[in-house]
Amino acid sequence: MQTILKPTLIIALIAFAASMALSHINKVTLQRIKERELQKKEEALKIVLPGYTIVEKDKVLQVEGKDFRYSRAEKQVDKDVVSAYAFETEKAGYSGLIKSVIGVDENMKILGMAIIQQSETPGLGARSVEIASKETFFGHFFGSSAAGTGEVLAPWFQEQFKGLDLSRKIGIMKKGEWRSENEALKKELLESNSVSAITGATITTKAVRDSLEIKTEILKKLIQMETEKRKEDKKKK
Amino acid sequence: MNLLRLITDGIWKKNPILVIGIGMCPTLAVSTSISNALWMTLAATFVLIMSNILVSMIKGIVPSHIRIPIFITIIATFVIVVELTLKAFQPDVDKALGIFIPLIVVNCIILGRAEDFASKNSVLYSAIDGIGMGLGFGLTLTVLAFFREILGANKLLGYTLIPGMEPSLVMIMAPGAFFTLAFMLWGMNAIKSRGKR
Repeated sequence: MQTILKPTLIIALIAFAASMALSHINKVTLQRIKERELQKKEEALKIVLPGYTIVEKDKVLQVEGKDFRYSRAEKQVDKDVVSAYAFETEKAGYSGLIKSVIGVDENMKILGMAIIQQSETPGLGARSVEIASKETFFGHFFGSSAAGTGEVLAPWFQEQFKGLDLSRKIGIMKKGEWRSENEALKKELLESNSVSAITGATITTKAVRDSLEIKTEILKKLIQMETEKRKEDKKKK
Repeated sequence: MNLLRLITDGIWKKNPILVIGIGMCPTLAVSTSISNALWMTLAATFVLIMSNILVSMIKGIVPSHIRIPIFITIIATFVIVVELTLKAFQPDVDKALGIFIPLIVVNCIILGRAEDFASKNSVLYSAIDGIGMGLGFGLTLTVLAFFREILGANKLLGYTLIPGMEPSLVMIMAPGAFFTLAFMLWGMNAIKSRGKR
């Protein structure tokens, strides 16, 4: 009896103390973590729909029994009102899901994309959310003239999706790190509707690309439906 | 036992990575940049010191045949504390280190020190041993990361070193970590054997 009861009690006691401690820590941090996540989503929406104002949030479109959540935003262009749509998508990358928010206009041109969750390898796939710094080491510490302006840039990997056509196939090129000042490469990528892969993390790049493409069909339907709805609304007026 | 000796032992004579050869997984994985290495060191050392202290405190009441599950419970608790704290206050670090924060639970250095040292020594000694081992782990990681970041990413502390130069990709991947580690072991053993001669 002694050999069973005593160890059981001790383990139970320690597990109890551990749960107490953890529930306390959870209580302290939960609110903050939730706020951060919400904030991140809000920021992501602003990034993927630049210049637009969100009109309808968290709408649901049911297609083949599956829910497709999206937000609709509007912008005044000349005398017309154009719509844009933002939605979340995810696909398994090299290690775990990669979740991102994407904004497209009525012609399925990508307005912006932001990765909101990933657990890729540090230094490789995790560079998909890395912000390219213009500053160099010597510039930063010795104040040489080559020092950058310190402006905050969007992660280069996400930036390059901007302007691509989602209704066509998106290609992957191995052109290395892409910088906004590299006009020639930017043009080449845009013309061939491609992105440049993260060096050493082709799986991550592919996963992000595929996570966009799996939504293409449903997106086409959605845009068609919404556009018709807008037209009818106009007629009624 | 000399307290200072405990710390220097952790760094040199009993360096957990270079001498004992444990804790390799996070070593190879997060030594891609110095900032990753330093945050990893901070997280792992905190867990190491706290678990060493607790294990040492309860060593009298834990029956030896159930000690491992108890050690793991204690270690896992501190790891979740670290994970939640990072998520709430340093989300960028949490993002960069990703899965390797929860994986501290199975870091052999921590369980190894609990089993090998803390369960046999006093609270003070165990805490100091945690600091020493943490320093040894951190220094090794930082040196590894220093070379890998320069050669593999052409960066130092996140800033580009030579603009326009293409870094050697292999250094940022696992083989680069093995190469650098091998050179470090070579260097360390060379210094040690020179002293003997």
